[in-house]
Amino acid sequence: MKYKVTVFLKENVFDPQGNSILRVLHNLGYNDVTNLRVGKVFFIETNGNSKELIDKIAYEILSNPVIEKYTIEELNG
Amino acid sequence: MKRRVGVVVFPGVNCDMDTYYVIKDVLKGDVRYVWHTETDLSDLSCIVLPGGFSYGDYLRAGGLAKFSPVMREIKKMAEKGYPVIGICNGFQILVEAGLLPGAFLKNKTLTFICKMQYIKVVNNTSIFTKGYKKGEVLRIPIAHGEGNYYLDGDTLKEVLDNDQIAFQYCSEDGTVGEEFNPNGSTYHIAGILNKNKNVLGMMPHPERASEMILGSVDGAKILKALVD
Repeated sequence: MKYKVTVFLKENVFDPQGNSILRVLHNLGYNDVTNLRVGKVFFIETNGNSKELIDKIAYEILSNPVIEKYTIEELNG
Repeated sequence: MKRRVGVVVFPGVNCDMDTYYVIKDVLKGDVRYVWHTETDLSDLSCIVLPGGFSYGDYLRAGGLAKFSPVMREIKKMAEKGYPVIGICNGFQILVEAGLLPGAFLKNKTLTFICKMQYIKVVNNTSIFTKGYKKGEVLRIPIAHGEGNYYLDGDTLKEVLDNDQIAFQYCSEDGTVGEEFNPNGSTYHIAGILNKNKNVLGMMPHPERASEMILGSVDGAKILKALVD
């Protein structure tokens, strides 16, 4: 199986990178952009269906639960 | 009791030799390197996790080093009350490993900051800080890109209730405030202790402030405490 794990900062945690990119967008005149947050994407391949394993890896290794959350997507093919 | 200090070497750290040098040649202590795959630390009485970029800071600063075999032994030593100090990247590793509370974000400036910094001693009851006066201002360099120490509101309250803050960023005269906080850290925290006060994490580099030729000796007492 192929999985896509997206890790991103919790909403109440300030994102210095996202904030800087947003400021640049506003400087360039893209004033309709109201929020921008930076995250990380991991593409993982496994033998067989292992959503539970992916969840364990995402929680214990790929994210830091103090500041981050994640989503898991199954990819076809 | 004479102590033997272990300086832990993860792939990618770069302050290991400075730290070893200060403990051995400046402070005349007994010290050895500890490779990150070692699992027998029975000859050691305290541990230093030096600064640098363990595992290239890949994933998150300290996020991969916490899984090195040596960390299981260091956790056991910390639980038994042995002194453990993490400097800069070592601090990040201790936080990732759950030995200290919180997490690290990128500096609010988004730049790597490398400069002399004033910090203030908040808790002077720990083994590491007992040589200083409460409120004493120290000049110790910082060098980091991810030093923005984050605590949520509940954890900050807990940390304050337990008197766990070792150092805060401040001005030359000891004023604490947003303008003297280089990286955006919660409550201007530069160094924090665990509940038992035997584990210290700090972003400033005491090993770079232990000889007058480098401009300050304000950090020497922190490492000296591990030697005596």
